[in-house]
Amino acid sequence: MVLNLDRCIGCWACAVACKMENSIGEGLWWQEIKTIGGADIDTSAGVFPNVSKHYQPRNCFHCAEPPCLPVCPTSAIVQRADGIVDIIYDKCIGCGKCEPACPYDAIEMNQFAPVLPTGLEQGHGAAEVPPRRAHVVEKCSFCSHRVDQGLQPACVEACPTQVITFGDVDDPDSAVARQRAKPGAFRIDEQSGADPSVWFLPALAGAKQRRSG
Amino acid sequence: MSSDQIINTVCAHNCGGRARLACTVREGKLVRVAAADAPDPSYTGACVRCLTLPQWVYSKERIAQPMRRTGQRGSGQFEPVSWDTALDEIAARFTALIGEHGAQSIAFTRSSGTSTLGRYMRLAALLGGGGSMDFYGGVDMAVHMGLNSTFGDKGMYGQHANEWTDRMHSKFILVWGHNPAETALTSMKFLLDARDAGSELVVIDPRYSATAMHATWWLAPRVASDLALALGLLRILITENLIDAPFAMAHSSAPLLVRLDNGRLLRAGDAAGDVGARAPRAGDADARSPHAGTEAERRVGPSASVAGKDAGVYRVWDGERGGACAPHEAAAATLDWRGEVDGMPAATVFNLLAANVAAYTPERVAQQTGLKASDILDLAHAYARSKPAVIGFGYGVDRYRHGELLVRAAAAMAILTGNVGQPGGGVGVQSHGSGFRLPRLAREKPLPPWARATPVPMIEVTQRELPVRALFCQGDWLNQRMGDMNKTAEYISKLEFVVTVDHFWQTTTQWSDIVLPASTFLEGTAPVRDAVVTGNSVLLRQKVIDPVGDSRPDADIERDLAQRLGLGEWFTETADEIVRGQIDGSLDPAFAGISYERLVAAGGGLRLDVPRTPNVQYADLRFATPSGRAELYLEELADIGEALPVYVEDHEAQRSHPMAAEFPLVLVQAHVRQRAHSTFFNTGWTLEVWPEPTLEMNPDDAAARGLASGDLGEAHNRRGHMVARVVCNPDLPPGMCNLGEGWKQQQYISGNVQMLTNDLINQAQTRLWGHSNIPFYDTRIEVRRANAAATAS
Repeated sequence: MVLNLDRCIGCWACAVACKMENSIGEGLWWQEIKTIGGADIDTSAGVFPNVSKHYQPRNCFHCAEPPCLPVCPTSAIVQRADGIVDIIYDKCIGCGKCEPACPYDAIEMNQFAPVLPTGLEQGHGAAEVPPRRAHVVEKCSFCSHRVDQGLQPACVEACPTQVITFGDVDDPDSAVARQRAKPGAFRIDEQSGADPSVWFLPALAGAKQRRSG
Repeated sequence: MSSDQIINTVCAHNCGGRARLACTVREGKLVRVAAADAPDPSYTGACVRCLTLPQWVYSKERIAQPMRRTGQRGSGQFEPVSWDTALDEIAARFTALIGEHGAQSIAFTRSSGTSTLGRYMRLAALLGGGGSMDFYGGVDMAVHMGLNSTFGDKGMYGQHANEWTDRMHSKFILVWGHNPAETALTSMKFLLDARDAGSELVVIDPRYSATAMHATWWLAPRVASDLALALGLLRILITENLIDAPFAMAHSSAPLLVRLDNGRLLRAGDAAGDVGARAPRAGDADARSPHAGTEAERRVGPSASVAGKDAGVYRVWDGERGGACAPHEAAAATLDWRGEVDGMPAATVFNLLAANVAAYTPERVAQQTGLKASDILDLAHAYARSKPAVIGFGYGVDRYRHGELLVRAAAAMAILTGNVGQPGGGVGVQSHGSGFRLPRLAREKPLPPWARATPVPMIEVTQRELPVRALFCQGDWLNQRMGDMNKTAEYISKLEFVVTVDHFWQTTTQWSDIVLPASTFLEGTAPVRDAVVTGNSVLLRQKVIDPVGDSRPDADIERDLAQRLGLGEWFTETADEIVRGQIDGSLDPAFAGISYERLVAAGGGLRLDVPRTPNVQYADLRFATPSGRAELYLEELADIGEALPVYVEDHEAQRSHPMAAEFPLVLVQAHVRQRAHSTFFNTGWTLEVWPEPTLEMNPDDAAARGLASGDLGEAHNRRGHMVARVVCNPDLPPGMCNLGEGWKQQQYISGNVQMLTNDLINQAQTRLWGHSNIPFYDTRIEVRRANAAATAS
């Protein structure tokens, strides 16, 4: 997956689509949009008009060497042949060892049984996504249920500004490989050794733009 | 899962996006919403708002059943009643009021948050055999006033900008007072695509918006100083001769003569003698009257018949022959001229425009806007030299006192540089859904001529004597449609009878005697609710689920009420029957091959038979103005000095305003990505991200008041107060505060942003266009730390 931050408007459509698709309970998010700027959401750093801000959607990076996987005592975390790192909820015992093992803060624990919206307590989104219970961890699955049907992850489909490209990065003819080859493509905390499968293209507009104010 | 059913429909909210939605229904419940493929793939896409629809539909704020007030009005005490009881009571009260005081003792008003904006208009028109009152407008109108007067009347929200897909042809895109990254989210891609392909994307906004952060150039003039900037840009274009004079001469009123004694356009017969028609020349055969038009062209709209009706009446100065004559008679009309026509002092519109902007030197405009003079010069040069260039407005500029003047000045920039009627050019509002070719559906069954509600501009409702004793509100009138909320609350408290129909408990329902639960646009009793023409397509708004709770669709409520008032004969068709008639009855050639049956069979969406190239407005350079030309000069406003756009410093937001010393901060309500006005105020997913109203302040302004992010601040002025959590944000310039629009009363700690807002009537707007916009952003406040007393009320 490659996210072109130069087109991200911080709208959270990706995150809300993810939340809906995967029937994620109140307070949990598999994808969140960080404001890289001021302390509060949607605020800049700096002094007007010399301010700086951009948005950075963050989800599980589906690392090639996932640090969460070896620490799981019940083999509830698995790496599929296509590289997707999935959680088998039935096997999760809620020990929480994977949470701190993730360098990217991508795993969250259900402290309680998920709270779903009024009228949708039976779940929403894709019926294929297994329900969670209290004391299991959860995280972005790259919508593996959709990938298995030949569909794009919900976040990719939902983004109104085409920030996200998803596919087989090892296929040099794929759109995602072409995006990754663009100048400036980077990964977060590359030295973690986890070899993440999510790259970013830098938010250039703000840094390059002329300002008059 | 096999039990899932996917039904396509169209969103109905007032961002105007009209996204085609794929709605997943499982065991009768809406469980998922995503973008459905639009018949024109350019317009496939949905935004974060529509993604929250499953929560919205089942929200705990839904009104479950009809309710009748039991406590004091405003107390929020209600008892459930049956539909029959509620409708019988409304009918009885209305009948009694009509009998005693006439139908104009009853007013109807609508908000856009409920399912279909136009509902209850037929009932309002028919009521009492002569029509009730219709409270209308008040927002998003000023910019359209300016555009309609310049280019010809296309109706209150008529579209003048080129289609969004045309931005790829623009070398220079000027986004002015518009934040599509939050308001028109599915259209923002067109700007980003153009920028990434090399276009300049210039954003003018006093605030570093989510759109400004993606610009190649962001200019932040002082709040409400945009008009000075526009006049300064015009001056540079004119004084440096960066204009397309032949274009302005041929297609605008620039060469027309104005009488300097009364400011009216000079007409045939005003002066003693014209020089008359010149002798014919070779090539004249091609120069047919630009305003004749074909029969097909005349059918494009009701106002097209206005186009050029007086074209031959106006005069130009024929410099070659030294006299005045009709434009088509001139051997060589002079653009810039001032003198006497048979002893009568006169000047061309262009000459007056140049004189009008002469004082707006870059240095003076720099002083007024806070921009550097060199930046103002660069902007004018870049705009003029990067053709084609487009100017796209939003409704941010509309909410200041003189929104129409700013847009008229910007339209003059586009006209003088020949950027009108060109691919990649144009000027207009580029909100959601703008600029398409909009073929017409057939009309619903027409009403008799006597059926007509009396329109009352929204801003005047509380400021003028009206015979109104009862109000029928669709949506949240009190919270969303009026400035100066305390005044509005006093007004509503004195009415004899108030009915509100909405999906959710909100501010106006609290002030009502009867509350009726309306179904959302996703719920229906017929297979189709209505049809929408958008994005070069016709789409059916199909029923997705059954009505939630005891709610009913507005069309059913209107019919059931009409039947009780003896007006049932006008409401005999079901919603799908009406839609069938609208589609099968359309004579517009764009509907060739489209029938209701085909549309249903196609899943509710078909591309119209319209060209596949982006729509360019005024490509034929015909304008539905009396002169047939793009109108730079409005003679009707000459006596109050606004025939040309002028910078009138009577905004409350201006630094020079008398309130500025006591209330040094200007408060705007930027529209936010998670709501369309107040619609979606209650969706939990976005409330997790943005949980409460926040008062955004420049960090220095906050510090000067001893406030830090997270503190409770009380915004106050002489009209009212509001308490909200402060967020320090350097995206705002010093002196400007922001509170995102559309929070509901129950979400404030105390007060309400509308208790602070301004409802000053603009007399020029009222005189020329019949109504005035509400200047919501012309609102001055002071902010102090909230004490216990402030947070209690």
